Amino acid sequence: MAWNPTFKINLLDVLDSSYDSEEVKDKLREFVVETEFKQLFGQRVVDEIVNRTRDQNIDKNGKSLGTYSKTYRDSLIFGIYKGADKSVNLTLTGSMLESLNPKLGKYVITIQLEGEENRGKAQGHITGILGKFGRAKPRDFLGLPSGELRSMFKSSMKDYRAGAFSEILV
Amino acid sequence: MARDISHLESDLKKFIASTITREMELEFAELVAQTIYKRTKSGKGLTINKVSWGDNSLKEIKPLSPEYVSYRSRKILGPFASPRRSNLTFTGELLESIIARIKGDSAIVEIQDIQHSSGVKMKELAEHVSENGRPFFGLADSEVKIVENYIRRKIRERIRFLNK
Repeated sequence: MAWNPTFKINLLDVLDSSYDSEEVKDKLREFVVETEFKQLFGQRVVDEIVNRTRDQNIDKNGKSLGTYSKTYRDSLIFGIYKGADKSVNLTLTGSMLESLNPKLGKYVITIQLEGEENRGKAQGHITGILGKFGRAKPRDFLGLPSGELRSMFKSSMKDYRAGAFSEILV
Repeated sequence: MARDISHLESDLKKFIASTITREMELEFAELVAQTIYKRTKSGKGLTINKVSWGDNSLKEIKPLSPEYVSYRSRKILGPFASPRRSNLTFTGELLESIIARIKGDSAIVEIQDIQHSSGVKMKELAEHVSENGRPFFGLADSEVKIVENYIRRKIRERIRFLNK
């Protein structure tokens, strides 16, 4: 059975590190536990992880995802799914990245993958261990730098309080 | 405290629908067309002969007969084809004829109404291979999830862009 890779976000910790003023933190604490805010923020985190991986080709620390091995680039499956596209974006069929979703707890949002197969793929990318003997460059895409997370938290809070959160209905 | 947005839901859904452009619709249809094309080329078809959005599963395409493998080995095959692997690519024309386009208010994915080099209409050829144990034109449940999540993400991006 595959390991279950996740990215856990403690909302109170993010709130605490995102603002200096205790007054502001106290004021915002009540919004943090609201389901709609958590949906908004959690979904934005997922979208950003997908965007960084698929479009920017960088890992959770902002480092390049590198290049694919020549053997993989020359494989039939690579030719069919990627053609001339040599970008390293952890996307062949797209199922792994599109299976990311936020699970909402009271104070914690857990970004997780749906399906055993997708969890297995993510495990392979994160650890660089493919099956029993295969090795690849580890590409840990599941996360965001703390600065990015804080910035996203603040913009989500601002939009949420301004009523600009219709995207949660999508 | 939680925000009750139920009274706004209908208006918000209208707003969300209004954010989807024709270009986006076409992009989504092209994604569906590419999903069918690439999956079939990789040797996977569907379990049921049903042109549908889901209600289907992925399955290896029925193997080719030894006689046909032998015949194929003497011919020039389409892209990504090999004599032994069944992926509906003898000449490659059938899969290449899958297109996405805007028709009226919708974006559609279809097999073009053109003739195969054998003289058979492409749509009839697609029906023939599907009815004879190699259904391919539709989406499996697992593919629907990928496409739907992609579409949702693109719409959210658009809403965020418009809300800036």
